[in-house]
Amino acid sequence: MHLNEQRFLILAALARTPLHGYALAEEIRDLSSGHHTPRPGALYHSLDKLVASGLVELDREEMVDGRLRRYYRITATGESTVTTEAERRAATATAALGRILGSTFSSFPAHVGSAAHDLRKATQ
Amino acid sequence: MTRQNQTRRTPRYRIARWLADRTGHHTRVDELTDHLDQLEANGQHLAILDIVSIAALAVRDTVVAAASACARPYVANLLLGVAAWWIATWTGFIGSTETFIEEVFALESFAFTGRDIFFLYAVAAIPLTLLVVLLLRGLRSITERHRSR
Repeated sequence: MHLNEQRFLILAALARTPLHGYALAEEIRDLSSGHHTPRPGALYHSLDKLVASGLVELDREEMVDGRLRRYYRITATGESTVTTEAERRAATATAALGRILGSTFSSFPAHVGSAAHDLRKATQ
Repeated sequence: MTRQNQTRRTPRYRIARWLADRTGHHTRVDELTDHLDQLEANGQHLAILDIVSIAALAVRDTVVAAASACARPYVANLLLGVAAWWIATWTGFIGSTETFIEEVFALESFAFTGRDIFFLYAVAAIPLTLLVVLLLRGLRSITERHRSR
């Protein structure tokens, strides 16, 4: 299954603990440093797709204020998928930073390249 | 007046709740309403695109519900059509209709092509089944409303 940005972030947000819809949206916002806030309808649509493909499953249901609150958790397949995707994205980011900053930092992990970029900007 | 009470009045939340009520399964309605409640309680702004996303979910659910409601009647419709065709052929009705058309239009020969008629019927049966299911559901809801009075 193709993991777009939203599905990738949902899986990453669920990696730590099972979450319900609103908490998941907040976690995604924190995870992406406020760059990505899932829209309610789109979030549940993505969750349906992830559940259908076996990457996420229902953890439990709780009654809150007379309404059913559903908690979702990541499956073992989901964990391995998100890990692979995260590594692929990190490798792409490292390669991109290498292109931007020159070959000096291309062999370093993404966060080293990013720190070097910040350092270069600060000293300019 | 609290902040929550103030935001409850906003038309955007009202529209979003109305749409959330139309998202098919009751657990999804609960999920969305709970989500909206928490957004509202935290004083978060509801963008037009948020409402659009809920509307899209409601439309998708409606289409899925309509498809699942029509699937069985559609198959039954097709089977009935095939059975009717088979009986009409077996009793000679199709043959005599072909002869009748040949005589009326002074044709050398005329024959129905069963395969073409079946494909045409398979396509035409989609809107026909949808219409019948909608009519039956509408009638049922009117009858139920009348009974509850």
